[in-house]
Amino acid sequence: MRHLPRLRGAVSASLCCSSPTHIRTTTAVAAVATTSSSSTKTQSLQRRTLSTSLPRSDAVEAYTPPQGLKPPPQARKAAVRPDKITDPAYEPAQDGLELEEVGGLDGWWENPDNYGVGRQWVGYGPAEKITDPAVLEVAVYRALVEAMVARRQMNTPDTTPARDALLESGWGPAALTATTVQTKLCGGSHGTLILKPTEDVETATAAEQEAEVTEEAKEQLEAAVTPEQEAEVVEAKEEVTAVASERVAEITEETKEEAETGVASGQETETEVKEEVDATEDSADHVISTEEARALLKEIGHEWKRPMIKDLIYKYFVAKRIYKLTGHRIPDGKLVAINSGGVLLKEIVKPPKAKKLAEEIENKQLFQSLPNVKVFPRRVTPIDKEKMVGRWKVIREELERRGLPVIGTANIDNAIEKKWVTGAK
Amino acid sequence: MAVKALHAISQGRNGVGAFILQCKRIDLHYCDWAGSSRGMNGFIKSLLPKFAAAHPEIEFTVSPRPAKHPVAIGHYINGRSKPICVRNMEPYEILKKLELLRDASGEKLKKVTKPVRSINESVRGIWSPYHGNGMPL
Repeated sequence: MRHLPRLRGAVSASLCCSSPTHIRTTTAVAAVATTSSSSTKTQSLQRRTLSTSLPRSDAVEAYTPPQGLKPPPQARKAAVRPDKITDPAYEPAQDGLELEEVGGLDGWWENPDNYGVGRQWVGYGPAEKITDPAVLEVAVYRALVEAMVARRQMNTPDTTPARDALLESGWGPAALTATTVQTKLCGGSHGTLILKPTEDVETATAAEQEAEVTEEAKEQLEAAVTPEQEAEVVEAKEEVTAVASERVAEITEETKEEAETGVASGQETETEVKEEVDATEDSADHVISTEEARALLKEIGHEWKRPMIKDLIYKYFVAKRIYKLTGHRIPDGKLVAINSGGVLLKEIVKPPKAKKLAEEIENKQLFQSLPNVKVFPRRVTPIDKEKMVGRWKVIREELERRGLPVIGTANIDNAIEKKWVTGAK
Repeated sequence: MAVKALHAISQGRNGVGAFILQCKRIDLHYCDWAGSSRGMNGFIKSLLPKFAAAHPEIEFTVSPRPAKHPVAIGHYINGRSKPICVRNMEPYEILKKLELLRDASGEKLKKVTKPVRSINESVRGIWSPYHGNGMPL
């Protein structure tokens, strides 16, 4: 095989331009270079990319840095030379450790004030999971009710913002939880979970139905429901719209109140504004206590635990709502298998996993009925073995009588025999 | 009156009149942290309740031994003990080891050279068809 010499760099290339072929090639390259230099910015982006697909030039150009993002300090200030300092009180430091550190990037990246507000991560659910079983049960029930309202209003465009606000809202005031929980869930004609019609809701329906829900929305609501659920919808339609309207109205009022609070506090000083915001947040999201939850559970009952839950979208809404309220995220695989309120509750309310095998054995009471099995929670030491046979008391007395250490070796050196052999130093 | 020694009339043979299991206690040690105890922990949770219920004559003690491999130690009525390290074993493998401990006599392992071993050795030896006169038919 013939080896061709490798050309290196532009200088070597310029030496090979004697033949007419090379001249033509060079001209062509120059032409391309001219075209590329006069091309637009988009073309240059296309040329740079290694992918076969075109880059999203609109996305690149539309990028704006987040507000409040501060770049790290670039400029460096040089200290004044000691011989040029005119201050008579100046005394040069003898050691670098005495000097105070000024400026620099130390701790700059960790300071959250240097980043914009939009860059700070805000979680969807609460930072800590709720573990109280009573509170969890109320939260699950509330999620089932609110998700059902949201599901029924899913295809109604008028209520979309209110539905999103409903699904993404927190606990709200304590009275809101109590009101929501008063809505009863029960089994429908097909054994599926539906909202139970109550007298209060029916009376409210007459007043609010015409004002809040249009005929068009009702038709769309009917279209969204499958033929199987048609019979249930006939029962629950009026009452559902009433509940939805109430909730939408409440959310609107809450938003207004928050806006008013913001406007009012804007006129005050900064410290007062912070206190105000903290106070409103506390009153806005009130996670109910165990006692409140137990009182509410008496009203809720157990009727809602048995009926079937089949609708996947409804289950998704429920899972989203539960995550927002309690911080418990249900995996998709388990969500598909959940088919009733009771199963859902069992999935969420679980005793904490035992960290040690002995604790797990005790919790499950595996050997409760077996007299020939003994389980020790910690290591059985030689002292424990002596205690089991009642010998430790005697051993302790004898050791103390002889002035020997009961536990350990006290001040007796292990290598004393070595000293005897090698000679004491 | 001269003192007479008692003659040994019979020797105890386990299983002839009554059978006494030689294994009296089995200690099970595990570690909560180490991966080599995973099978042992699973065995204690899943298989030990049934095994212990089936052997009420054996005493079982379960205790942790942190930062050590899991061990099953059989204690026998002759005063000896037989420890078996069960590190990285699956629960059913450990079950086999426990059956071995249960069935063991607690004696030291010996090499068996003779096919038949008896405390009542025959004075006539073992019958053989190739020796003697045989029986004319």
